[in-house]
Amino acid sequence: MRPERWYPFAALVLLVASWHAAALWATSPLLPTPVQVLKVFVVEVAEGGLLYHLGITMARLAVSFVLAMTIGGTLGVMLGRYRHLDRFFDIWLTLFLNIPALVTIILCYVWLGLSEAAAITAVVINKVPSVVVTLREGTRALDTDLLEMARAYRFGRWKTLRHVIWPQLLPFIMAASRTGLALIWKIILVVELLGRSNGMGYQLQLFFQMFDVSAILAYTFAFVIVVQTVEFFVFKPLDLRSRRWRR
Amino acid sequence: MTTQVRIEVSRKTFPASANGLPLTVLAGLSLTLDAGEFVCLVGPSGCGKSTLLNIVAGLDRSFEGSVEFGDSTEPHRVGHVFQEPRLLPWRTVRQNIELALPAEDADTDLVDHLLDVMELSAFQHQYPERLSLGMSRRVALVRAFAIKPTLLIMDEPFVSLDAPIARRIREQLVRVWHERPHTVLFVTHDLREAIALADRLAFLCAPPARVVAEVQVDLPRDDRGRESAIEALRKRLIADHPDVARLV
Repeated sequence: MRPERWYPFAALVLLVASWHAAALWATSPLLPTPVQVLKVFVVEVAEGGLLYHLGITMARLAVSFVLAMTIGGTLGVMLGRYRHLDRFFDIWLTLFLNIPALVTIILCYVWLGLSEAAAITAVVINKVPSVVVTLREGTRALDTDLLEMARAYRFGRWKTLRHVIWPQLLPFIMAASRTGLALIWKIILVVELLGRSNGMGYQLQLFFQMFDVSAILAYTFAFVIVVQTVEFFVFKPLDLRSRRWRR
Repeated sequence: MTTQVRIEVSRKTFPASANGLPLTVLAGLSLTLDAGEFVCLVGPSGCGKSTLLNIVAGLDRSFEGSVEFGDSTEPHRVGHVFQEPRLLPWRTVRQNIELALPAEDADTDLVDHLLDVMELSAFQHQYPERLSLGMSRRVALVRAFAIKPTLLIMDEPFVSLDAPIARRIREQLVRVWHERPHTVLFVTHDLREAIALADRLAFLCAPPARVVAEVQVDLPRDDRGRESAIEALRKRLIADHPDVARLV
């Protein structure tokens, strides 16, 4: 095996080793060793607390992700397709893109109450504008020559959508999904921290109040594992599949 | 099944762009293609040949005039070969061809046969990006022939190919056309290519374009493989029609 293959593994070992050394040197409960964090992780998993809160957060994430992609995708395709609509609503887009996430979250809780609906709405509103921008670009980039070919050969609506338009939009949908997931991961914790009584964000807030760094790191660890699993088993294969026709 | 096509375009104008005046591309154009006839449209570049093809194909309906197919104004089944192959890069050669087949009359045996004649059978499960330009153009030809068109429209389909490759594909084109003759409207700016292929030549002038001359090509098809015969006819044609000589 080529030595480069070992680089990520070696880098990881180096990170854990430096962390361990730092923890030994500090000898403070505010910087636990990797082993201590792992112990807390195992206990939290065994007692179910971690899995429960992670599950709640994942459910919120899934719902808001699907909503944001559907709404944002539809709007993006429409703006990309109809120039007047785009000209008219462009200023809305700029505005929503620049509202800080925290403001949207606070306003949603103020106007809709401290409810599940408010939490989801806040996440969706934060994510939709960037999906719109990406899919608008994708729609503008559609190949008019191929669309004309589809018309000449009377593909009809469904065939054109499935074989001509969808494959061209797929890379943009993939890009929006990846950046979208990264963004939602971060926002959803703040949403939970501010107005929910369960989920990862809520738990992290509790641990912060108790200065329980081991638990904070254990939860972070779980979080990273889930994100990487989704990336590896969902996005990588989809990405490869959408590109296999390329040289 | 083949059909007569009567084309009358009294005026085709493109609306004014941001910085110019409306542009009249075609005016007073009249051309009839007989059933089963191979007609080459020759004219200077930018004279509106592609615009005319889009009108005949029914892709562009904003013009003054009419296009009649046999006894109706509905376009029959039209095979369209564009200047670029226009294949879907994310579908294989075979899928590209089969997607174009009309649902009610999909003849996959014909696809097999055409792929065979065009020497593409071995590549039918490849993606188009792996093909050379010459091969991609042949795929586009197969796609147009496979739908059993009543009218075949070709827009400079051999441009930017090496001369020997273009010649080879022309021979294959004539072969499949002979197997199942249908009306053909073929656009080119290369008079030699036009003579090699056509029953009749129609010359367009600079915009606003109309048909300024029509010339029957009386060279027997068997003689068209010889460059000398084509060159001799080209010289005679230019001598007989000095007005045409200016256009090509």
